[in-house]
Amino acid sequence: MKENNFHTNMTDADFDARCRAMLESSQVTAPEPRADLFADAAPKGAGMRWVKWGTAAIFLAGSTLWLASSNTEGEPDHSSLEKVEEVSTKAQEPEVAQAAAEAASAQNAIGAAASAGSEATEAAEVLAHPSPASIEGSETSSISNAAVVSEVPAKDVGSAEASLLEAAPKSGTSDPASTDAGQVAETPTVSLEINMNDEVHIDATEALPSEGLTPASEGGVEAEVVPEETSKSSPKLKLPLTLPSGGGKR
Amino acid sequence: MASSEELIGLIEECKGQNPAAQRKLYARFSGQLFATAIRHTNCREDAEDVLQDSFVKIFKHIKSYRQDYSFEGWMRRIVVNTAITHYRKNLKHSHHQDISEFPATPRDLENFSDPEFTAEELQLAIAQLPLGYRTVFCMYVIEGFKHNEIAEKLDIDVNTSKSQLSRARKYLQRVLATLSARAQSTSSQAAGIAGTAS
Repeated sequence: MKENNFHTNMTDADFDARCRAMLESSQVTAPEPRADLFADAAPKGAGMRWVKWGTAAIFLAGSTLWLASSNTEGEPDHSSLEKVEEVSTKAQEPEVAQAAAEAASAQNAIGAAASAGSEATEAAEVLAHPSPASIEGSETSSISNAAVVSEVPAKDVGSAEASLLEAAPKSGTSDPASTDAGQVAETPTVSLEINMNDEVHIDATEALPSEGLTPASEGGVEAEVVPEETSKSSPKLKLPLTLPSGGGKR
Repeated sequence: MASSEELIGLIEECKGQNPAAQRKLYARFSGQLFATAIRHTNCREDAEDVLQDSFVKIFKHIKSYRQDYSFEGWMRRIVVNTAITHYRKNLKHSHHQDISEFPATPRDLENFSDPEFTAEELQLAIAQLPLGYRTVFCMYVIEGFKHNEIAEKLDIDVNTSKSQLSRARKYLQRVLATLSARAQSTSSQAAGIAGTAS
């Protein structure tokens, strides 16, 4: 059955009014409502609310108890922290001692650098009182103190030894193959006694350490040159040494 | 049809969260509101969701209802707003069909000069509208929204609302004219069959 018939041209307003009238009253069979739509479904939610509140209360109580227990256990925690700090300080003490030892060794090294001349005198003493152990000891001690600084007195010692050893073959009295430190230490006096006069002997024995070691404090190059000059000039020294005596006679 | 006093009493009981009153209210208005939901969603499943969500809102906010306004209009507004929210959600996931894909020719309008259609045919024609057309047409023609309100709720321009309404109206007239022509031909065929039979 047709509800409406339009036999004239419809305006937009008429069409809208007709559509509104037809659709406003229209109904469709609605679906069944959901179970939780009405208010009687609320008690289930209320029960869940009580469960939630209970759970929250238990959680809060547990958290407060835990906080209280942690506060009571706070002091042992502090003591344990103190123990840890003590252990750490004890562990740090050897390190501090080591650092102090290193600083002392560094100071020794600096002192060794400053007292290169004194070490040279020690080398001379080693030469004067020969013993391989003492030489090695002096060398190892100088190396242990400072490697850079120890090279200089070692060279000085070596140069002094070389000069003396060079002087020894020229004298022809000592065997170079059989020379050890003790013999080397004795050779200067012997060779100088042979090569030089008594006057020269006194000057040469006094000059060797002084001339050979004063450059050692300044540099290793001169330390090598000067003993060579002294060793090479030892035969040449005969002429000037003899000259004053001869000249004086002349 | 229930009287206004009976309706007022039902509303007051619903304000007190009476489940029996809520069931009565649902039984009384669910068919009408479901039709509104179907017009805006064009899908029965979506309309069911819109209806359920709308009744949840109605029962929740019924205390804020004032008797100065029509209770049916108040509920229908809630359904339309819920359908619009649903429409916006679907708009993100569905292809928006432009109104220009369904142009109304002058011949269609000439054919609509003598229309005969029923409410079911009108609902069928509205269901064939694109989503944007249908929403604007139902909001303006049936629910009584203004263009500025439609533009604000759908987040579109006012002129867009007007143009979509005009094109939706022409599309509906074309479809209804076609349906009316088919109905006339079938009725004439039926009359001829009846005449021959007699």
